[in-house]
Formats: sequence, C-alpha cells, structure tokens
Amino acid sequence: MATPRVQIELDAGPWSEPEYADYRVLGEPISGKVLITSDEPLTCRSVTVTVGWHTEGRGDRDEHAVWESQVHEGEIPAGAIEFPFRTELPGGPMSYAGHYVNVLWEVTARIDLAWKRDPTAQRRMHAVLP
Amino acid sequence: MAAAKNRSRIGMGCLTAFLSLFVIVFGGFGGWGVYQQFRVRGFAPVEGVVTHSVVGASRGDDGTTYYPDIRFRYTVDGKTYDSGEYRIQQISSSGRRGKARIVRQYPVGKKVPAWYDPGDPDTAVIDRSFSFFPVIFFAIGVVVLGVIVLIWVGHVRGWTWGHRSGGASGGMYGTGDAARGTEVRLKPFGNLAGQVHTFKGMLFFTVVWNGFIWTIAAFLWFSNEDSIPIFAKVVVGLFMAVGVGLAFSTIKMGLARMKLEAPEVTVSVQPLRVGEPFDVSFRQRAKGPVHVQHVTAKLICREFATYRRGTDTTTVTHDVHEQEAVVVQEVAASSIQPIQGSASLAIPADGMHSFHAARNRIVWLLEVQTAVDDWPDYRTTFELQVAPERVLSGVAV
Repeated sequence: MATPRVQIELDAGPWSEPEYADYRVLGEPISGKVLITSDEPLTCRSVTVTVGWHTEGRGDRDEHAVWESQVHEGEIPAGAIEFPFRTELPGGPMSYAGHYVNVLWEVTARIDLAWKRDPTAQRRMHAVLP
Repeated sequence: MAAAKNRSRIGMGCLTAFLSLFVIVFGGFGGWGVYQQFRVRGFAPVEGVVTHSVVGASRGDDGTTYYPDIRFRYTVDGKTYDSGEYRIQQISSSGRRGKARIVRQYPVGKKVPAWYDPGDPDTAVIDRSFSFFPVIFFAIGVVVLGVIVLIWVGHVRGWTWGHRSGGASGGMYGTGDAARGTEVRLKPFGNLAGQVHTFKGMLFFTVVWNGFIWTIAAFLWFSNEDSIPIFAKVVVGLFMAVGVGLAFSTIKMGLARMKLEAPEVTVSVQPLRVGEPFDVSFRQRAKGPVHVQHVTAKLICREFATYRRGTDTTTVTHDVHEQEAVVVQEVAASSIQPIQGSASLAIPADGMHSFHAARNRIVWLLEVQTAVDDWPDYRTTFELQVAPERVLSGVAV
C-alpha cells in the first residue's frame, strides 16, 4: 500500500507580499486545510491538527501545543480530500531567532492509522506581534 | 504576622534537623575514618605472616560488595597476636576484581611488613595508605554544617533567598496578561538556572565550594601521602584556584557594600512593551562620604539555554542586546546626601519580549553599576518584564 500524501495549506495572512506568506499575527485567527491524497481508502482512526511552538538551539527542547483538534474521524476514501481548520493564535510567544535560543511556530497534521506508522506534515510559520 | 514568624521558625527547625542528619552521618563517618587514618601514622613496624586471605563479600539490598578479608599473625614483646587486618577501616565496595588482585598479593604463609599500635598491640594493619573516601564524606559534612550556619545567619538577619523579580510577571511565555504599573520599584535579580547574581547567592556558593575543596586539600597536605597521583593534586589545585577566585569576587562584592547601601531603582512603567522607551530612576545612600565617579545603567537582553549531557546539566548564556546609559557622573555623596539620577533607555523595536520556558529563557536585565574612588564597584542586577506587545512610534498603544 502506498503511503498517503499529507500537506498543510495556510489561508492567506494579512500581508500579500510573497516573502510574508508564512507570517501570522499573534492574537489573530489562523486557518487553513489539511490535504490528504491516497491511492486507496485509508483505515484511519483520526486526523489531528496541532498548532504550537517549540525551541531549537543550544538548550534542550521546550515545546507547547496551543491548540489541537481532530478534524476527521473514521475511514478516508481514496483520492484527494481536504479538512479545513481554524483557530486563534495566543498572545505569545513571538517567533524568535537568537544565538542560543530560537522559538519556532509550526502547524502539524497527523493521520492516525491503525497498525501503521502515522504520516505527518509540518508547516512552519512566523508568529509576529500585532 | 506572629503566626507566620512561628511557622518560619518551625520550618527552619525542621530544615536544620534534616540537614543535621547529613552532618552527623557524613561528618561522623568521615571524621572517624580520617581520625583512624591519622592514627595509623603513629603505628610501629612489625613483621607478620598471612594466616587468612580471601575476598570477603557483603550482601545487601543494593547488591553484593567486596573487601579483602586478610588476617595475619605477628609478635610484639614475645606475645603473638592473630588479630592483624588489611586496613584500619575496611570499606566494602563493588568490584570484585580489584579485591582479588590484593588478595593474590598476600597468599597465606607470606611474610609481610605490617604496623601495630604500640598503645594497643591487638591492632595491626598491612596497608596504611591514605584513602580519600572518608575525607570526601567528612567534606560533605563540613559543607552541610556551613550551609546550616549560613541559613541561620541569613534567617536572623532577614535575608531572602532565591529568584525574585521586580513588578508584575509577564507570564510563563510572556503572554502579556499582567497589569501595567507606573513607577515600579525593581527588586534584585536572584539566581536563574545556576547563574548567581546576588551577593548572598555568591556568598553561599563560595562557602560551599571552598568548604568542600579546602577540606580535601587540607587532608591532602597533612597526609604526606606519596601514593596520591599527581593528576589528583593538579585537579584539586585547579579547584582551589577557582575557590580563591570566587572568594576574591565575594570579598570585592562585600567591600562594595561596606561604603554603599543597596540602590533603589524604579522604572517608569512595567511590564514594558517591545520598542518602548522608559526612564530609570536611581537612588543610593552612602554609609559615609564618598566621591562617585559614575553610575551607569545597562540594559541587557540575555538568553539562557539549559541542556543535559549524561548526568550533567549545563546552562549557557549569551547577551543579544546591550545598551548603556550614564545615570550620574562625578558627584559627592554621604549618608545624608544620597546619589540620585535618572536615565532613559528603550527596548528595541526588533527585540524579543521576556520568555520563560523550562530550559530556554530570554530575560531582560538592568545592570546598575556604581563606581566610587579607589573602591570596588557596586553592581546590582534587576529583571525587567517585557510583554509581547508592540509600541509604534515610541507611543504606548
């Protein structure tokens, strides 16, 4: 069985310039969709979307999921299917690139398959202050 | 208030009782071991014959430990004794192979040089080399005793310990939900992830460090033991050098506090916002007439990253932003004429807000330094809270 393809697409942010396509404002809504493409029906328990931040750099990893939601439960038919999601970012922390500490925001989608490795997809974004 | 004081005393009593157990167990066991090791220095030589030589085993809850179970016969003033042992204080430990090697060196029937106690000829040993195990135990007892004394001195003098920060908290990740206040008086920044910023913290750390290392060094010196490897002596020497450095820094900090009282620092607003300018007001009393060269206020954004490698936890820091302003320059001060001044600083518009996660932190600090003639500088560090909110064009939104 071929592994299903998972993608995350974010709806347009407040800026139209292509270099700011991944920029989102803290405290404001964020929305998008999870696209799943499969050649055959998937025996799936659930599709989960998580929005959260984690640290990278010299220190051990800190992470925090600010929002998690099951956008689908049950079998997924063959072909391309999309599951929309929408939430609001909290007030902080903002994305940060420092010397020893980096704070990175990410949207993660995970398909929970029975007795198989769960396919996942990540989409990085920059969370900025309003 | 009185009830709180009583609770505090009860808490101190419980803590002292708990720590005293460590002093009794470690100090007692280690002290007795050290005494015995010095005692064998006065033993007289005698020739012995090994009568029993096997690897002894002690079985406990944590597994089996081993010791060289060697006995020998010797004669003092025409009287024969069978009570000779391998060491004066036999310590059983894991690792059978090392003990088997010792046992192989002393087969039954072998004649061995030994030492007996002239005051108590019943006691004799083959090995009288110096062991560091009891010294380390004793040093732990000494350090814990020093900690108890320091805690009580601090309690009597009303010291507070640990991390304190000024103003309202900006939340764990700096979520900006704290109420803003104006003319907020800052409190000294304490300790964060092993970084010591206060005089009391420094004093505590110096006492613990030096208490431990100097106890070991003293025994190393007085033992006159040739079998101690040079590597061990070099390591102890390096740790002593660090201890001297710490003591020097602590004395410098203490001297600075002899002429000046703790400064009072207030900021015009807190929590601050990213890009926000703010004023720092400074006031410090002198304990006598002094000439102040300058007082500076330095705004620092410092990253703290903590990581574990094996059993070691390390914290590294890096300053990503520094801005310094002069508060006052070339002024005279005394007990009735305090040092007073103010300075303007600003959180940069492209800066980060305060961020406090478990292992990664971004902290805004205000380091205030008072320099007086021919005397060590008085430095105090304060923490500023910066909320994840932006100020546009220098105007609070």
